[in-house]
Amino acid sequence: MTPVLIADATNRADIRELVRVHNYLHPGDVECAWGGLENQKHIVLLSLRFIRPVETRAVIMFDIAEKGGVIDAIIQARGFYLQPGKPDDRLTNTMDNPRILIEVGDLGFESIWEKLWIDALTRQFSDMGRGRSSSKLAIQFINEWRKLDRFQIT
Amino acid sequence: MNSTLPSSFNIPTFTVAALALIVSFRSMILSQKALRLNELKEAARRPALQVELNDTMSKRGETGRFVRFDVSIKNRSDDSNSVSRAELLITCVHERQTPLIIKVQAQKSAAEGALNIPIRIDAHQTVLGQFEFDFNEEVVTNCSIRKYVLLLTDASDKEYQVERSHITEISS
Repeated sequence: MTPVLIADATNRADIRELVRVHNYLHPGDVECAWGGLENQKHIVLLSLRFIRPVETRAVIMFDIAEKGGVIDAIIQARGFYLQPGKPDDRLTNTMDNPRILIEVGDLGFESIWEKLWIDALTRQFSDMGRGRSSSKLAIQFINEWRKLDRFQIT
Repeated sequence: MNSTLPSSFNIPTFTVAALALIVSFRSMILSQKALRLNELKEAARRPALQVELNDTMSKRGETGRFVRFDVSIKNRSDDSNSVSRAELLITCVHERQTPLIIKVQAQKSAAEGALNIPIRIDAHQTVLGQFEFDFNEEVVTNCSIRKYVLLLTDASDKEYQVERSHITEISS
């Protein structure tokens, strides 16, 4: 399942234009890179360098505790849809809005992410008082999440 | 024999050593010259295209805009080269925002004189022709166009550009 990221682009006319113009031109090019912040292990950054049809840059910041599932969905799907929007936009009420598909290839982040997510979930379960079983619960949670991610209605 | 020279001094040895010094000095100068020559040859083989803009033209259709750049491309290098990408970069400003650069790829054309990618240019040769761009008017809707740039990329990813701030529009 390819996730749709609705990004607040109220102050980013370049991103709004990029997505709008994309509808009328050849497929674009984008370079992606995963990253992090020093001393902030709970943050994952996805840096996007759009080369064409509009040259611009954007960095999407994810908090693993809140958006770990979204990061994992992007990694599993090797891409995502980017939809510029407003803070209270939801997919259900913006179905017809323009969005672009961004391919995030294998950037060697998968193994790092696996450890980051397990550690973050273990910390969360530990804070909830799950003690020694936190690590096992984290792995179970990830397996269940991925089953849900692969779920298809046929 | 009474002499001021040290006992270890030997005239034949000195002569051979002096000759060896002269020969090695000469070889050093020769190798420096050879290196310089090689560097010059290498520089002459580096990709060096020169793009000159001869004319531009723009035409509006019912839904689209057609832009044509007449150019001559000289290959000043000793090696052949090729143009692997041709793009039209439109710098436009929307509602007092920061200028945006929209890239439009050159389209294939069967028209006489049209240049289609890839274009091979042999060493010290010149190619003349037109790059054609056709895009939906929506691409530049509600924006003020500041300039048009023709960006060419060669086989070694080196970029060359020519620009125009205004393109003559002809009626269709």
